[in-house]
Amino acid sequence: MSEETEVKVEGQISVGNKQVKFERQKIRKRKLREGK
Amino acid sequence: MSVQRFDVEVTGVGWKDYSQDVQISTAPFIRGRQLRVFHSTRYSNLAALTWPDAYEAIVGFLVDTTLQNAAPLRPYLFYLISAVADRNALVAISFVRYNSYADYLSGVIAEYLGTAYGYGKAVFELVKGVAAQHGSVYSVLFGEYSGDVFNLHVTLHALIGGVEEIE
Repeated sequence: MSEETEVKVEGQISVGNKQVKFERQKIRKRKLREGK
Repeated sequence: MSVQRFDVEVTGVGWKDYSQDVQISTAPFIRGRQLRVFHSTRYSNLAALTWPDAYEAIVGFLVDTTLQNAAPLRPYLFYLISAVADRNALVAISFVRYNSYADYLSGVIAEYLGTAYGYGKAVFELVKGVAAQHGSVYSVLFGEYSGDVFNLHVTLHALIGGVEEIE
């Protein structure tokens, strides 16, 4: 698992009529099914 | 969207009893007191990955107009999760739950809620839905394995409201 890095994204969440957009998100690298 | 359908048993003479015709759909009918939630993130030019490496991002919850990491008291019911690439490469997506943000930081996954693979896109349906637990942190793990820099569109569909009535 790596440290989080911030990347540029085109993001949005809408709940009913409310909508919020976001342009940055933190991601990190890890393995699928790690530890299982 | 898949719909499971169960035939009505005909007994006796007369009209069929359509109240017995049960359908299960991953695209639920939205009732008046429910809200539809759509969570969409487009990633561009992410560095190439080698399986089983994946990127992980927290799924934000919208409370009033603020995005927060921990699930709010009123649960979201997640029912459809997908990752779509812009080329025909192997794509993976996984949905996981952490008990807390501290657990997320230390990487201690509480629950694997589903994983899907596919070429070009990976989709999985949570047929009965997964209700977000108050205070838990949810994340998606996603990857595209063309061996090159890639773009990916990750979406989650959920409902708010009515979950309290389940069981």
